[in-house]
Amino acid sequence: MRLAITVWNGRIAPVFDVAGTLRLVELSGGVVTQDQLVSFPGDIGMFSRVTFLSQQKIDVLVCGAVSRPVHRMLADSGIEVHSFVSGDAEEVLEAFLNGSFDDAAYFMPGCGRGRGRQGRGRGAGIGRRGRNGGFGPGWKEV
Amino acid sequence: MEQTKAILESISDGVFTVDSNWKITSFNRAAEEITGISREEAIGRECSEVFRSSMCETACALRESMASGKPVFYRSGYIVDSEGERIPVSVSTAVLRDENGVVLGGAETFRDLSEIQSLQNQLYETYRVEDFVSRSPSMQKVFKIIPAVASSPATVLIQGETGTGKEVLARAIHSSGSRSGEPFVAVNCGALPDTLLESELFGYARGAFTGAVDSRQGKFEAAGRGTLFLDEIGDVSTAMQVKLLRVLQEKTVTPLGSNEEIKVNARIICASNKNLSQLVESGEFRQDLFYRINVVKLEIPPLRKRLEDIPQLLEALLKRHSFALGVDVKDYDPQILPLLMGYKWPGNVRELENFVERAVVFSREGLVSFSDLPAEILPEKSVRHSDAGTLRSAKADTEKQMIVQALENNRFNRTAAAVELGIHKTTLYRRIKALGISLPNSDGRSSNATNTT
Repeated sequence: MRLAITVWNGRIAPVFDVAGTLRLVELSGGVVTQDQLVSFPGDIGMFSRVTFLSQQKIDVLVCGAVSRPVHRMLADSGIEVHSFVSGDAEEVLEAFLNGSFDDAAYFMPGCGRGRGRQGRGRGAGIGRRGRNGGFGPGWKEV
Repeated sequence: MEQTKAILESISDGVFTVDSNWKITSFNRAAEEITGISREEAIGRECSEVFRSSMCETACALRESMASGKPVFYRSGYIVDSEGERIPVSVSTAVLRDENGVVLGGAETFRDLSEIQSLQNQLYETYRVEDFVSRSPSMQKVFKIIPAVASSPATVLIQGETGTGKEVLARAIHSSGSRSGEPFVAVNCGALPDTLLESELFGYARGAFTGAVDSRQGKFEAAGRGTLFLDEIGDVSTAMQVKLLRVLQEKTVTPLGSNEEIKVNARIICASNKNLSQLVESGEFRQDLFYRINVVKLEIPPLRKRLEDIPQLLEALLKRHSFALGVDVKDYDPQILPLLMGYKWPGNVRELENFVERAVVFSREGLVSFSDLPAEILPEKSVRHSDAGTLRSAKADTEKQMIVQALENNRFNRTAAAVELGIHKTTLYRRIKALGISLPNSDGRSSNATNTT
């Protein structure tokens, strides 16, 4: 399995759409066989960004905030996405490797499952995972 | 203190403060509303994980303010809210110090630009079809018929000088119709000799000629049920014209060296920078082919005849190239606009685009200024003088040129010229008098009347 985490200053990068660096980890039989930092190639568009991940044969992506069209492209590429995750990148990776990773424990502020948005009267926050491209409770497909 | 708090709570701009470790220390009501995050959740968290803006990683205004001690104003970008919506924002930042001048942290104010941007987009949508931007009355007429043209299978002829955007318009027609999911295939007929053009358009079978070790699909076939765009159709030889006519009449192509006929399903759009009617008259273009392709004719006027498009094109191109090159060039020095408006742009939109792209690469301090202008745009007199009088006279010259051009475009009909210039008729009369523009004795109305009697 190939896992990618967008990182910035040792933490999960705040916005996937503009993230500059990926930590790429390859796991085989529960053992890390590859662990490297990779830069996104220059100032690239959204489509190229998702294509780049596909080219890197990424199975699972852990990242910060991601805009809806990009999330849809990622899901359509068959990548399992854990988005709106925040925190120390090393700690998140560790949790992922030992099987204790739980999205809810690392949600960015305002993104907890079932939380209502303040002020604008929109739907609940989000929490999503899975390859089926389905969005969590907060996503409204348009 | 209470008073400050009440003010912060009542304003419509989002405001938050951070300590020296980038942890949020206060978060006002508007910040809660814009981000959708409650202050209880925000306080104590990393600002980048709460604010989640496109600027956090590489262009953080707060980081700049903290490093330089100086405020940053109106930096624009977007934030991603918890529903994955991108909200355009403008941010300003400043350093917070205690009474002894010791840095305590920073403050950031941000404004939700969604409504402004949506209004701007609505305004721009009126003046654009796909990537084609124009507010000139002549192009507005074209825009109005594009939906009808796009939904019909009729062959279209686009005429316009080089660089006016014939292919952009062809793509807009393709993208606006039911064929948008099918291929758009463009061929520059003027760039290829007959033999190559023939194999390019019709394809060839294996062994059709020496070196044809495999068969190759022609562009008519490659376009499938999409659109085939034949550019510079006026440049093809008379022999090739006969072959094209046969394809358009019979709706089939036969690849070179093959006996098999392939059905043509693609919609054909032709374009030329030459006046095909004149070529027909001079015998250089077949009349029957002309009639076959001239089913719907769209004319793109040169840029010098739609000067009113220049400001919007400049803005759109600046945005596009600044984004593509990842640089922060935001605007043009207002002093150079009269020069850009006064230049004839013989290479049309393509030349304008080349200028903007080059200016974005070389401009300093985020502004396209006088020093970025190429020599051909600088009129001789503005090179010779640089005092305030020259700027005034440059403006007057540009205004005069625009008015004369509009009058000529409308056969000196003042009312129509005023409409084209977007000013009132009486303003036009006043400016004609002030600028000393001489007019012919008859105007558009009287010459029309003469023509019809």
